[in-house]
Amino acid sequence: MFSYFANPIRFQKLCRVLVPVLGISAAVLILPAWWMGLFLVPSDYQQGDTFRIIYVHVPAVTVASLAYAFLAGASFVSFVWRHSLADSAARAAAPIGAALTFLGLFTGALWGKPMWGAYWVWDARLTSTLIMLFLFLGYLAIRGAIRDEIASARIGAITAMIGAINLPIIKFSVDWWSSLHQPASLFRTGGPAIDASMSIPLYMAMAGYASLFGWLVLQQMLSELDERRAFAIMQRAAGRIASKASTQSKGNPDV
Amino acid sequence: MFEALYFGKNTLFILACYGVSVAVLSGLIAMTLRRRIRAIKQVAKINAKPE
Repeated sequence: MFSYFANPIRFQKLCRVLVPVLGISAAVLILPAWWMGLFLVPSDYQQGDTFRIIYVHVPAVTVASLAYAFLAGASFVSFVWRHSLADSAARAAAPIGAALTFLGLFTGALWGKPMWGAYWVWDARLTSTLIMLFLFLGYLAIRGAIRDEIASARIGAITAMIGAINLPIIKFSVDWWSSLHQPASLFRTGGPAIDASMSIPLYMAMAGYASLFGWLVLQQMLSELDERRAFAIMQRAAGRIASKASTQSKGNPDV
Repeated sequence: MFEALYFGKNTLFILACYGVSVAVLSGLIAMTLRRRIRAIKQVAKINAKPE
């Protein structure tokens, strides 16, 4: 399957269908979910209205983790099969994942202050999420610092794959260590611990953020393909001009 | 209208979370679209040039 879509023409054809579907589903899921989260969903019996932050915090952190898994997966494909599209996907996912992780940490801090009395605690969940932000930034720094594209892709891919160890730590940190952060309440054995009136907008927001992530990654990849094509055309044209000039100079002894 | 956006003593925290989310997601969308438009224009410009 990877080899099938490694062909840029096939990939662009697939994008013609996927990009509008993802874009529309992101808009029709996120905006109503936020509206429901702010105005329709009842207040929590313990946290009051502050729990409404869940509709921006949880989707951001969940999709940031998905973005990291995607980055590690694309890096693996790029490392093993050397598909340039997989490398392009990894490069596109990293800044988006970093922005979503930042968003998750920021909204978490603003939720933590009224609930825990502190913006930040060195809790296992928070710390492992902060490490994920550093992994995203580290990956971006490596890709930006190494000029040689092949070396940059390989070193970046190795870093991203090693960093994937952090994903299960983020997920299970609340179970493995005594944590101030609440334990899993959606994806857990025994079903979700949140009432459907509160969880449906949350699932909508999560699906919307995931669609938005997909839309952003595909758009970035399409842009890179176009930029590479433009660069290749320009290089070919420059080569033609140079060879024409050298032929003319050979024919004219004054030059 | 502003009454609807009042959520008690923690209103500021809630609205700041939504506000920052809107800003960051809009920024990502704007950055992506700007790059996309620039890339499309670049290809179109090169294709339009006479050989």
